[in-house]
Amino acid sequence: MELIEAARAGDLDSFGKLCERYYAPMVAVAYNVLRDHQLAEDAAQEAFARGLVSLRRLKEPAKFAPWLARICRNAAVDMVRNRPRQVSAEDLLRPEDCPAEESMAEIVREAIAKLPASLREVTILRYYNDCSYEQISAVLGLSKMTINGRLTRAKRKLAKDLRRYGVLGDML
Amino acid sequence: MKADDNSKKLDGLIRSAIGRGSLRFDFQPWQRDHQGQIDEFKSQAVAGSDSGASAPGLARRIMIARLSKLVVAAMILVAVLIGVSRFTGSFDGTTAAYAKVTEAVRNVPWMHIRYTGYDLDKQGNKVHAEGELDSEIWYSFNAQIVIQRFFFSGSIIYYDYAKQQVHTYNPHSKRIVLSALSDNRLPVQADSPWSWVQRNIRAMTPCGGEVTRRAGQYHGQDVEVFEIAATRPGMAAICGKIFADRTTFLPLAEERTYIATDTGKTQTVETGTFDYPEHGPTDIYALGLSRDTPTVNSLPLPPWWEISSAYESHRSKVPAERYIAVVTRQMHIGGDPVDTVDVFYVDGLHYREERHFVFHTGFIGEQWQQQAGEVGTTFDSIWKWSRAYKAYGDISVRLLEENHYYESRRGQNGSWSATERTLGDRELTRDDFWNMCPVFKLGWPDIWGEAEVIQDDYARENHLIRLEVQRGVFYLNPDRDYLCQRRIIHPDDRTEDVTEFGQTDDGRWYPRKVKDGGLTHTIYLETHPELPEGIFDPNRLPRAAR
Repeated sequence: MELIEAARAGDLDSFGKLCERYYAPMVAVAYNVLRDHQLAEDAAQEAFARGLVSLRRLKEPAKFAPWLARICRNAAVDMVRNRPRQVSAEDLLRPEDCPAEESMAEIVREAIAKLPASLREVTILRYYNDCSYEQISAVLGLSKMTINGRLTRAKRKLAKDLRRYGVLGDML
Repeated sequence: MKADDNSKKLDGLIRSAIGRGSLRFDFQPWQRDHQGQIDEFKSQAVAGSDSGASAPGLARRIMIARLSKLVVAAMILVAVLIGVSRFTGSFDGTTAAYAKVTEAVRNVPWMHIRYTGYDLDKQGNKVHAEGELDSEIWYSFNAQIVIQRFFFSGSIIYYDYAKQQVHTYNPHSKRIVLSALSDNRLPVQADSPWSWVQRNIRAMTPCGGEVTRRAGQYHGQDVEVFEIAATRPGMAAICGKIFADRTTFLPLAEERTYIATDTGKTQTVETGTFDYPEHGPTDIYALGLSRDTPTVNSLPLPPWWEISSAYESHRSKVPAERYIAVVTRQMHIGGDPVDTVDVFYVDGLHYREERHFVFHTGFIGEQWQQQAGEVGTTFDSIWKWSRAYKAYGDISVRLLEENHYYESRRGQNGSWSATERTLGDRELTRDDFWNMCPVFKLGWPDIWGEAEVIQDDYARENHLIRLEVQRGVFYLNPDRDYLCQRRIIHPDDRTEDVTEFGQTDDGRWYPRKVKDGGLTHTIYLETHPELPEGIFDPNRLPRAAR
């Protein structure tokens, strides 16, 4: 809270510390929208820029992280709008050109993409760069219990989906 | 046990599929890339702006950052002057006394003002490092020179009005850029330093401002004290004092305090001390720059912030009250398939956007062959195709109405689903809609950070203006509404070229074809079209069959 207050009062260094603290979760939030590592980092940095300019309009400093996450989601959505859909190399490769490992990763990514939005965001925050429950809780404004519940549900759904591809054995 | 193993295996699979490992954020390069926003953030403190107005555009940000420094630095002296000049009669002898101050200032060879200051948080603590806001200004009214130096960033701007030139030193690129200074292009359309500062202030005088004069002391010296107070709607109130020598009538110092209108608390305090040397910096090198500093001559072009201002004014101009924009994205692989079709409908404050994915991933060739004939290559054919929702891939239709968002989406299983949300407390405007349209982003992309005007052969041969920023290079076409004709994006130097141009009936230019590596965007912009009935009606969005 002190950092947030100091940043709101104009201390750029404090804002820099906040950026460092929330960079990883913000990249994960953006990745959830963009599915592209580089663009996700760009979106997080863009979110910081938008956040800085709007910082003095933040009404509840205690909700800084969820507020920044909203900005980050919007920045990512804007990037999607700007560049309708990235056709990745995978899209253009014929199936037989795909290495087996890449295919498995793709299957998992597809399964994650099919998760309901609320479960998908928590999953990406948790696994994209190993955000702690505390970090996820701060960014999403949810209790740790809720996060744990969502992660459990997400993993159940993923396991169910992946079993169809023979990637996993019995139910979790 | 098996479930436990599977759980671990699942963790591993997810991590290997999407895991990125630890990420580090380096604030220093971020600051360099976002100087415009940082300046704006700082200027908010100076201005005390706490309004909920929408974020200003790039050039406005640049101008706010630049002009706020110009304005605040030169403000008090002339504010008093203007304030007094608005009174026709003498009151309290102020008019006559200040005329002497004005005359004295005009007659000195050089006037040098050293500024320092600080911002305060709500508890009254200083929030800037020592010296962070320090700057200086040199004026020579006879030589028609104005120089600004910002000590913290190291940037220097040397205006030579007699030669109609400006030298700008950029501490990041460590280069000097020489640009043209033209009367009608200066941000405030001034033709001399004096009228420049006057015009800066003129915008502020409608806010009122009462000038008073009294005898006082400054550092033990008897002085004339001129005071002015002005309240600017939505911004901080300003209280300023200028202390002038009672014999020479030359200003000795000024003090300026910005007070938050909502809390009544002081936000910013700035002071300037004056001196009047016989000689001043005769060129930019006299301010400590090495004569070996690389210099780029961009004459006869104006400095980048003036170009950005023109760019922004064209960029933000909505093409019409009512328009349809259709944007196709074509991939240059076998058969040159169109991947997506975006359709934007705008009528005043009504907005609808559609995205049609023409085929499913993995069925490009087969499905494009089936669609190509119907999609066609004209506005009419593509638009008609979009109205029939014939895409094989996903389709989304979104409406924005006041602060409501409606979306209908057709997924891979072919059924429609609808969502509705409230967007918060800000109502959308025509400008917002234009900002969301890809025509805007393809034709007039964001130009972030400090820029320099550095021409190359391509720019010269095509009569373009080349702006170089840290994240890329932009070639603007001043003959076509400052449209960005070429963009090179660092670090991979991806090039985006406008290869064809279109023009609306009203004469507005727009990019007709934009080539971006292996992709081509084609834009069809129809202004003042007849719109289908109910196109903005949320109750008539495509929905699942009941």
